[in-house]
Amino acid sequence: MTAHYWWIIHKDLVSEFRARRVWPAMLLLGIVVALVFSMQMDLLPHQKQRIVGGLLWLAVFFAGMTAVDRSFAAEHEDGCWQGLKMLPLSTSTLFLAKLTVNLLALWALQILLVPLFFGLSELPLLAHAREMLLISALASPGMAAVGSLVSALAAGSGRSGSLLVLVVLPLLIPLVLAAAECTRLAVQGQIDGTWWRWIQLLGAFDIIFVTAGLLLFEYAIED
Amino acid sequence: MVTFAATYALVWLALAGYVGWMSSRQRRLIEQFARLQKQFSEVEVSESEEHLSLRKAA
Amino acid sequence: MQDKTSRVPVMSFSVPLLIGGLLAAAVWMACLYAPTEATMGHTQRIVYLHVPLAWLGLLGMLVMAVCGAGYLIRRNLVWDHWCQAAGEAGWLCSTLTLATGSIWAHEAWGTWWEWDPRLTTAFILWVIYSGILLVRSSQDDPHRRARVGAVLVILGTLDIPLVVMATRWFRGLHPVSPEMAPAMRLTLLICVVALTVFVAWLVHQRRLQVGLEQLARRLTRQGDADF
Repeated sequence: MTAHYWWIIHKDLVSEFRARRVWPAMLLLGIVVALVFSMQMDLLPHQKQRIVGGLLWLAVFFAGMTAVDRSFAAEHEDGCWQGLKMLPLSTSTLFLAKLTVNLLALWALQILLVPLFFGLSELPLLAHAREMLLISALASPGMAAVGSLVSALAAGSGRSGSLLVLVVLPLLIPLVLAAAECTRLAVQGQIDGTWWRWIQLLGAFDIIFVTAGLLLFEYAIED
Repeated sequence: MVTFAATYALVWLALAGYVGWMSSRQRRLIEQFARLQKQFSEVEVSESEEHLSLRKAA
Repeated sequence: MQDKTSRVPVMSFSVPLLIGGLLAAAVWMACLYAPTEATMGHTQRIVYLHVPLAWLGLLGMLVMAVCGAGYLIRRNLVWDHWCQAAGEAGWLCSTLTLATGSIWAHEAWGTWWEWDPRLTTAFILWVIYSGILLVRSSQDDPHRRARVGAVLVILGTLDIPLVVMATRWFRGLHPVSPEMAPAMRLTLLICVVALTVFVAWLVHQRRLQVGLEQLARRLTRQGDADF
């Protein structure tokens, strides 16, 4: 089973590196959003501190969702989906593998965007590196889980796919809010009880939605 | 006073509106079933005529 | 197979009369029986509508989730009819929650909107409802609509507690129940009960109607195919 897991991840990553369809678009969108945000941010440093978290995680969401959405759509378009479903794979393995690929995409995006946002806001990144790594590690699985599940649902639904991605944003509001608050508190140097409460919310979100994904995925990919 | 009265009016109007919408859909449903009934009764008439003609031929 | 949805919903008058009576009692209590509040005056009476509507909005989503799970397990479309009916009623209640909440905010705080925890949660709930209903209506096949709707609504319901927590912490506020005189509490309770019973009856009627509509659609298509 773990062999299948690694095989799917390997397949998706290799095909992405060969075709280069999704990740470049995602990274470019992230950069564009970051630049547009920073152009609007003609503010004093302490004001920038307050909003950089929210803007960063919104940018990660919008850019990241384009990649996550494609992770299933591409399979359907190339006709691989039927083949994939005929393999003796458990749906959990498929979900976890897709989740991991999307997680890697989100992390790649964050490696680019976090320094970019910090740079554009003239905030020191290295001083808060540990906190940002933790936030990044906890926020991404939740985003990947919800995104993967909804994208699987959308891919099988044909023309209403774009509608479904609309539903993802309200679902992810607690996560984006928590990540934004953690970032703001970290940047302001307030690593206190409140910060840890938000971190716990991120963790809870991850556990709840990865579990939900594992349970619901088989229903999402029926046809 | 006006605000509270207007709010109550709004809420009850909205709920009444939903009931009204359901009623109009019910009327459409009844029409649809009436049409279907007519369609199927025509089928029955033509089927029984077919049976009659088959019996006569036999 | 005995198709329960083929029973035409004939309105016997006893139940609607009872519900009407309950509603009338609730409105009387809200408008006349409950004492006028000191600071806000008569406008405070909006709370007797706002609270039941907010509660029904949440309940609707919960019912949708249960029915969605019911469909996924049983694959009987009747579960989905309940889901659709509960979704419509829940959306309506959610919309009215926002409207009454906004009016309340304007009277109490002078602004039409405040990002306080409760209103924010109500707004997010409304957005989730709207999204789910839109996605459902975009699917033609009943089983696919039911399945997609079920998965989405379960996700939405799991999300709500997290939204509540996140919005509360964001504002650093812990909403406190306002001090209410016993007469006010009684009025509120009666209003909650009355509206819940009324909306539950509405949902029941609507789900019968949804079932019949689906039957009519199927028969019409079959009829066209035969002719």
